[in-house]
Amino acid sequence: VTAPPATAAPARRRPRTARVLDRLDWGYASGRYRALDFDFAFRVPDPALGRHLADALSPLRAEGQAAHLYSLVDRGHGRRRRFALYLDGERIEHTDPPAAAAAMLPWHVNRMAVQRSPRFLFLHAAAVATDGDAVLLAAPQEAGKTTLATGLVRAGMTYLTDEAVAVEPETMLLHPYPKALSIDPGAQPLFPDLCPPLEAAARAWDHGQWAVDPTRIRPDAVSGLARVRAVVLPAYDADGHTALTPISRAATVLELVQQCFNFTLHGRRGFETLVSLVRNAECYRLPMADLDTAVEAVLGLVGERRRIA
Amino acid sequence: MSHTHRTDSVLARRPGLVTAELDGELLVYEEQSGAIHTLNPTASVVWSCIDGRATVDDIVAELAVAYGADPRTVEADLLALLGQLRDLGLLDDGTVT
Repeated sequence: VTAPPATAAPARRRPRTARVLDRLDWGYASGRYRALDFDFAFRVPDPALGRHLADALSPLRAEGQAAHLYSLVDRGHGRRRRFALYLDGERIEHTDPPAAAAAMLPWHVNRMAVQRSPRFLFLHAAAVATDGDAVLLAAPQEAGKTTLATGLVRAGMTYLTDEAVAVEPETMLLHPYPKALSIDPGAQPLFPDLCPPLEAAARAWDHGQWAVDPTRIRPDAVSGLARVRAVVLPAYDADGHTALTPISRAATVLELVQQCFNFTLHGRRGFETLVSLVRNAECYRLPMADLDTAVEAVLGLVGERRRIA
Repeated sequence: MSHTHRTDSVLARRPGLVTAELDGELLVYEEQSGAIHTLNPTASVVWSCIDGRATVDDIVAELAVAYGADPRTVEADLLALLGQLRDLGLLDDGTVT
């Protein structure tokens, strides 16, 4: 993910496309959402899709007027590039299957949350916390970050994010980006109680991945600002044995650099931030044979820290 | 090793490197390329001796005393390590001749 210039573009006349979009029929126009420093609203032609997306984005709801507006245009059955996603009148993506169209907007929001919040160093990681002490779960795609984070929140920890950990270099605090937990089909049988409701009219838009509002697990499940106390590098290993294995802090920095969305943007400050982040943290690899033992291992880590404190 | 160091040459670090020590290991960050290197505790000690004033001979003498080791063995190990550091681009070529 590359970052935009740090300064906002000067106000300018809305592009002609935006004015054309304004004249279309919109079955659903949302309120404001805030994804870190990026705030937006959206409008779609199908009210059922609108409600479906509103559910998926519900943890990011905010008051007031949005600065940016997504428009998802449906050009009709049989048309090539049937769906097009616009942001402030500029086309940014297009696709054909309805389910892919429904996934496009939340995906782009994640991307913009990173791009439009350059003050943060972003790690491709999940994070959960207890009393402001965070455990960072950093790993590539498909390693089981969201599954483990969901299990830990269900076990009583609070939620910061399952996708992009925002580190503020000046304070070393993690800022919550509590987007809906994106639970893949393979992990859904582990959380049958979290299956989001899907109205019949929205079935065509369903792309199979659950978007679970963390407050459905517990009303107070979203964390406030937190400080990293442990870094865990999880990796799903069905044939292995779940065990926290210590890893050196220096090796952890190298791993975290690989998971940084915007390390190049921050340069030296990014390096120093990662060093500071691990300096007071315990660092482990965590091969995970199954969810329950992995959750137990991380909870034990938090408990151990509390005893030391 | 692609370069032979004279033992009376002064060793210096390349400019533009940022270092951080973590539990005895040293991370060296190259601002220009964005690369990060890890030096183990032994290499970290050698790195701390490379200050733009000390020669290879000076560092050999210092390490031989510190570790109670044979200076010839120390020199061989040091030259091998310096070769690696140079290959990584961490030494200032202007002073390592």
